[in-house]
Amino acid sequence: MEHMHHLMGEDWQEDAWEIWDRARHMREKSRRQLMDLASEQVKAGQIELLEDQPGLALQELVSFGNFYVRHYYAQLHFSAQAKRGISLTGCGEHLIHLLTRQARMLNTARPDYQMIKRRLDHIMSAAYNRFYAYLYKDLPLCWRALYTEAAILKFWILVMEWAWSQYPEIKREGEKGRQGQEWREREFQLEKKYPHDLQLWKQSEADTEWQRHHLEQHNQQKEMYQRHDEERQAEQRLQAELRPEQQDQKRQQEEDLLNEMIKTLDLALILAGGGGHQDSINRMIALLEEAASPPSNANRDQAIIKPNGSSEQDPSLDNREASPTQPPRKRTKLSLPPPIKPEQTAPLEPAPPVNPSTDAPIITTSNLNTPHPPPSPSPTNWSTHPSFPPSEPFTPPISNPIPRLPSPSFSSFQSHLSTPTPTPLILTSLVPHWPALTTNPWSKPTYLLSRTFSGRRLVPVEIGRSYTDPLWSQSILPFSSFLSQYITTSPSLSFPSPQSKGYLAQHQLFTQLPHLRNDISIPDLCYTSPPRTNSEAKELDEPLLNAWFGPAGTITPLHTDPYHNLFVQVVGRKYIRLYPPSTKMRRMGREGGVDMGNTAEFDVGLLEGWDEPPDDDREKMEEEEKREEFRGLRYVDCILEPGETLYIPVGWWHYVRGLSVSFSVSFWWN
Amino acid sequence: MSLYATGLNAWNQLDFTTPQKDQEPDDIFTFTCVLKDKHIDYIRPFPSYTLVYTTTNPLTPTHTSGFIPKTHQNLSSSNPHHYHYFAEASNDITVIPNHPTNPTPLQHPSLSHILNPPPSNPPITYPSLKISQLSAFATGFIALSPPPEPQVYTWGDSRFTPCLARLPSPSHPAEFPSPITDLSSLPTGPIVKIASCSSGYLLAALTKGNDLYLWGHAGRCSEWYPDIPDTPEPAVIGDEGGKDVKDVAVGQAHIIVLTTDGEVWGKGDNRSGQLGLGREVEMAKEWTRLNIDFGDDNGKRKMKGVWAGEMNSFLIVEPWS
Repeated sequence: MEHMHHLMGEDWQEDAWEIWDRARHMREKSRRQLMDLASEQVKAGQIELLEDQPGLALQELVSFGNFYVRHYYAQLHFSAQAKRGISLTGCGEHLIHLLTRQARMLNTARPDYQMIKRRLDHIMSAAYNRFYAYLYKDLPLCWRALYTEAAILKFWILVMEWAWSQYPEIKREGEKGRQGQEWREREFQLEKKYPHDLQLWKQSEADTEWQRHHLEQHNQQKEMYQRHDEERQAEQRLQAELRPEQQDQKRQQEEDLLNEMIKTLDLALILAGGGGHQDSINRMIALLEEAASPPSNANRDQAIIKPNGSSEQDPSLDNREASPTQPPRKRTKLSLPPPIKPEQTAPLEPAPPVNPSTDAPIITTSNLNTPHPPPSPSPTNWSTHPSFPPSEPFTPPISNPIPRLPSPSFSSFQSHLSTPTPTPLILTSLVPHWPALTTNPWSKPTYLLSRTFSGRRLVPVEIGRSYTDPLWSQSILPFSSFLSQYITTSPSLSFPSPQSKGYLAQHQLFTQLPHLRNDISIPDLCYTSPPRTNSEAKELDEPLLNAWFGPAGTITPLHTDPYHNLFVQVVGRKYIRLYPPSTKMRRMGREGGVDMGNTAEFDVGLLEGWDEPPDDDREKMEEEEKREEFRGLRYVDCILEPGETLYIPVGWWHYVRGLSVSFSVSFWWN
Repeated sequence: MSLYATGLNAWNQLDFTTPQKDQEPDDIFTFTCVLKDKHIDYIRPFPSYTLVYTTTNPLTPTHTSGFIPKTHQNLSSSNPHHYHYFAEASNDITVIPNHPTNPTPLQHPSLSHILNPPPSNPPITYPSLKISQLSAFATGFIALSPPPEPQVYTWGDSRFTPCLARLPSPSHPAEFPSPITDLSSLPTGPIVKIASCSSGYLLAALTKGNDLYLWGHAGRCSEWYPDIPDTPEPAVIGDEGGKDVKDVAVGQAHIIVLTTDGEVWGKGDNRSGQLGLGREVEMAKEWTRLNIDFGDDNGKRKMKGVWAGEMNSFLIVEPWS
């Protein structure tokens, strides 16, 4: 089994995706060719379109699921010692043992999925327990990897369950594949033959072999669909007979399953940081989103053809058994492949000619008229969609305005940084062309929902007025719930309780949601090199991006960060007040075992009288003394408008207050 | 004598039959007799295996079940005494108490560190601390010092101060063993037994007069023990002022007690069957009497004690003689 080591290489998941991408590409290519033939027949009136059929994206998702669990087990089993991105070694030998067993079970003929899910949950819970037991910075990476790998396996079980609930024949296909183990064996043989990883796949010999292999699979699939055609029709008749409430129930179950799938992966991203498999997870979610696209899209992107009665006219179509007196038996399928991103399309030789008489029943293509669709859906004109309300319940006065300038050159900004004590600046036109401010407007709730899997993606939210308050807490919830509970409700009408404030703060949203990441870009100024300070912060290779999205009245208490910061206001307005590093600031001590020394004891909102105290048992004397001391401190302040960028030099104390619904992005660098 | 067990069995740790079945083991959801032997004195439940001992030979278990990780095997073969006494927390920190071949408690950053401590990073020693019982919780340790004046010590991560049941101060920092003053001079005598789970946040101490004191970190326990106090308070089990408690065992999210009148009570998570309440009950948020079918042992019998793994429970039953 030495070859497995070579095949898997250092990051086997990347390899797996690449192998699979190529296979998918081949499948799509031959489907497209078949489709071209089929579309002629549609035009000739020989076949017609049907509309219920597993979406191609779903088929691909299931296909990758099978591919993944197979390779995952091989990886665990054959090359446990192989070097990988993040090794599981070191985190609970018994848990790795348990995980390996579950991966093996998933590769047997009839796995007990409920039991496996329970075991995977146990592994995730054991790993999650360590996230608490360790300080996050001390947590060995292997625990994050373990959590993530168990989560991914669980995700694939959920994918299968979700697919089966919609299309029972997919289950049969999976079971058949595992029972016979034929196609699995063949694939392993292929891998054995080309041990030197993917280089060889690029050779034409391998391509030909892969194509041949793929075509066999394709034919098997076709037979399978034929064999189960009648059962499927029976199933559909049953479906049609379901009462509306039963249909609702079924839809609800599917929706629950979908949410559980997303939750499983999102928690792995949020809690475990993706455990070294972030790219893989992002791709899985993208596939899932494709597969789960709403029916209107699905209809546009896929169609099914069936023989149109007069079968004798074209012997090349597989409709020998159809006759004018019989209802059409064969449902010739015509799903449209989802668009292939240009970078995924490796230059390949044309697929060998396909015999339409064998393949016609499962042909797919993107579109009958345009077989090569554009890579993304036509741009939506978001300008007609409603924006977040601009209402501002309270606007603090500006006392010592920060200077504004349009956009400094790289060199002049570099020299500003190099002064002994660089000062804050507002750059009014640093980012005017960001899609987030123009074509893909973050100011529109509908746009944000469209970029978060219809709001199903989970985000971590801080609940409470300020993280220094006693009742402050954190929670993870779907983006749509965050919007409806905390953003689009109108808090200005009454005095909201502190618990009604929800703030998506300091979250690396953009590694979790790459869609949104594409709407912004890192300003060149973040690649300046400020003088090294003697802070403990490690040198950053890349700027750190954080998202700050919340309703009016969110507060980040007065604190310092160990980085320079370009704080870009995208939606709404924020009040920001800054005190220089030399300020004699009262610092907080340790709270609950956590060092809060970077946070000031001064609560700006309370001391300025803008906020009600969270509890009334504060010592008056101390307050008065504190107020005196606080008033003596010199500061600068501003209200940051959409499109503006505030430069916050390292070490400056800053207090940030959302005035309206507000979405900002910070870039930390050093 | 009989060993009864219920709960998580993912590694066959409740299965003492040989050879073990190859198929994927299911959990056990009601207390079931898993082992009979002439002598069963005590057990040590680990997350993935169980050791059964007789007092006459403490260094060699008479029965073993489940999956023993290599680090444990290595410690067991290289230093059986250390292996017999060590306690390991969820943050990997491992303490070896003083024992017949080890005069001073040692604290290592991990179990594997015991086998190969680099000279640059020797274990921490606690020369003034004498330990007669030691138990780990997720982020620290609880220890009982020997008579004549037994005291309960705690130490660990200051983020979870309620588990320590004392306020850390510069003279008594969280990370160093210090006595819990709340647990000295109690109305029903000194503490005779302590209990915790190496991945849990609830701790227990039992007095000579059979009072059970419980405390823990509310944030980490509230799901299964909603009213957990953050300082030691006597637990009231059953009606009329509460039962006298003979023995106690704590799991990751469940607790089980044996009362002086021979009843078994439990509270907490049952999703893996750890309370033996069947497949349907997910959680017992109130103290619940556990009805156990003793089968052959149903006649005259007495219960020797209770033990708990992370997600399972054990009970040793001996015939009345």
